[in-house]
Amino acid sequence: MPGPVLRLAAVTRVHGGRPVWAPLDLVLQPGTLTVVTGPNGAGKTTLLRVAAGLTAPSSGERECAGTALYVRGGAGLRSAQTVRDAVLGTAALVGRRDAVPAALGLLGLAALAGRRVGTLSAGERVRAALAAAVACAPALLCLDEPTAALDEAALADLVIVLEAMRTAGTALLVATHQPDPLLLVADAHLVLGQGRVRLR
Amino acid sequence: MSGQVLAVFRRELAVERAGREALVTTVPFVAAFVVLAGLAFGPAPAQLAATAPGTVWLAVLVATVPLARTVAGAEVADDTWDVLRGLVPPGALFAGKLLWAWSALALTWLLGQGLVGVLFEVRPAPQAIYGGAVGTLALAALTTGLGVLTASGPRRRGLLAALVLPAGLPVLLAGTQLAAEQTAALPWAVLATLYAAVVVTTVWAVFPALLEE
Repeated sequence: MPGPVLRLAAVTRVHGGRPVWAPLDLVLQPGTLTVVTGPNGAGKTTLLRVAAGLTAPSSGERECAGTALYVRGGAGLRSAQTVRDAVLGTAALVGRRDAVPAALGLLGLAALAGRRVGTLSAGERVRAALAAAVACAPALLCLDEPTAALDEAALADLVIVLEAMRTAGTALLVATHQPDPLLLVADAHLVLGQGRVRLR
Repeated sequence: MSGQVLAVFRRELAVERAGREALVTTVPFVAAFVVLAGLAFGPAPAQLAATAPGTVWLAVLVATVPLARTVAGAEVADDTWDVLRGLVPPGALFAGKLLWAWSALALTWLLGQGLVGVLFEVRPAPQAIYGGAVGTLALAALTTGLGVLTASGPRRRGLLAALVLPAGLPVLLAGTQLAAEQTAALPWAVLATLYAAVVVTTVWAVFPALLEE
C-alpha cells in the first residue's frame, strides 16, 4: 500500500496573534475524499492553503508526497484565454497536455472549449477549473468552496468528477458550506469551529 | 525543470496572444515617449543624436513598470497565482517569468531603437546590441522580482515605480553609454554585465522567499 499523500503533524497557523485552530494532525491517503466544514472564519481556507503548501504553518510539520494543487471556487484559469488554451497551459506546467481532451470531455466542456474563461458563468468556471485539475492529476487537490455556484445537477456532476479523481488516486480535501452530496461519498468529514477540530 | 520553464514561458506567450496586455501598455507608450522626446530635444540633428540612446533606455526603463504587472499582479487579479505556485517549483517559475520579461523588454528596446533610427535618423554603436541584451536581462530580473513583491495590495503596487526606477539606474547609464558613439565601451560593458549577474543571482536567490505567505 502506498504511503500517505499528506501528513500534518501538530500543525497550527496563527492569525492576529491567535491560533486559527488547535494543533491539528491529519493524514490523507491516496484516493480518498475528505470534506471540511465549519462556519465562516473557522479556518477552512487556511487549512486548505497549509495543506497545499501555499501557507507555511506557524508550528508543526507538513509532509506532502507529490504535487499539491489549491483551487478556490472557479479560479485558476486566465480570464483572457479560451477554456481549451487555459486548461492546456495549466496542464502543460506538469507535462500533461495529452490529458486535456479527456478532462474537457469528463467535465462536459467540449462545447465551451472555444469560449473565453472571462465570459463563462460562475458554474461554468468551476467546471473549467476542475477540468484543469483533472488534467493535472495532482497527488493532492484542495478545493475551496467548489459548490457555491453550482445548481443541483452541477453538484451531482461534481460528485461524479470527484469520484473519478479519487479512483485515479488523487487525495481530495474539499471545503464547503453545502456538504450533503459530498458526504454521501466522503471517506472522512473534518469539522472546524471555535478553534477546535473534530473528525467524524 | 527546463520543460516547466518553457511551459511557463509558453503560457505567458499564450496569455499575451489572448489578451495583448503587454502590447497595449508598452508599444503606444514607447512610441509616444520617443516622439515626444524628439519634439522636446529636436530639431537639431546633433541634439537628437546625442539624446537618442538615453531616450531609448529611459523608455525601456519606464516600460518595466506596466510590464511588471503581467509577472504576478495579473495572475493575482485572475486568481491564478496559487495554481502556478502549486504546480511549478520556485526556480522554474522564476526562470519562466524571467524569460518572458526579458523577451518583452528586448522587443521594447528593439522597438525604441527602430523608432529613433527612423525619427531621429540615428544609428546606434555596434556595442549597443550587447548593452541591449544584457541591460534588458537585468531589467527583466528586476521586473520579475519586484513584480512578485508588489503583486498583492494597492499600496505595494504603488511602490513599484519607486523601487524599479532607481534600481534600474545602472542599466540606464551603461546602456546609454554603450549605444553612444565615441564612448569607451569596455567599462560600461563590464558594469552592465556585473549588474545583470548580481541582479539575476539575487532575485533567483530570494524568489522562493518572495513566494511565501
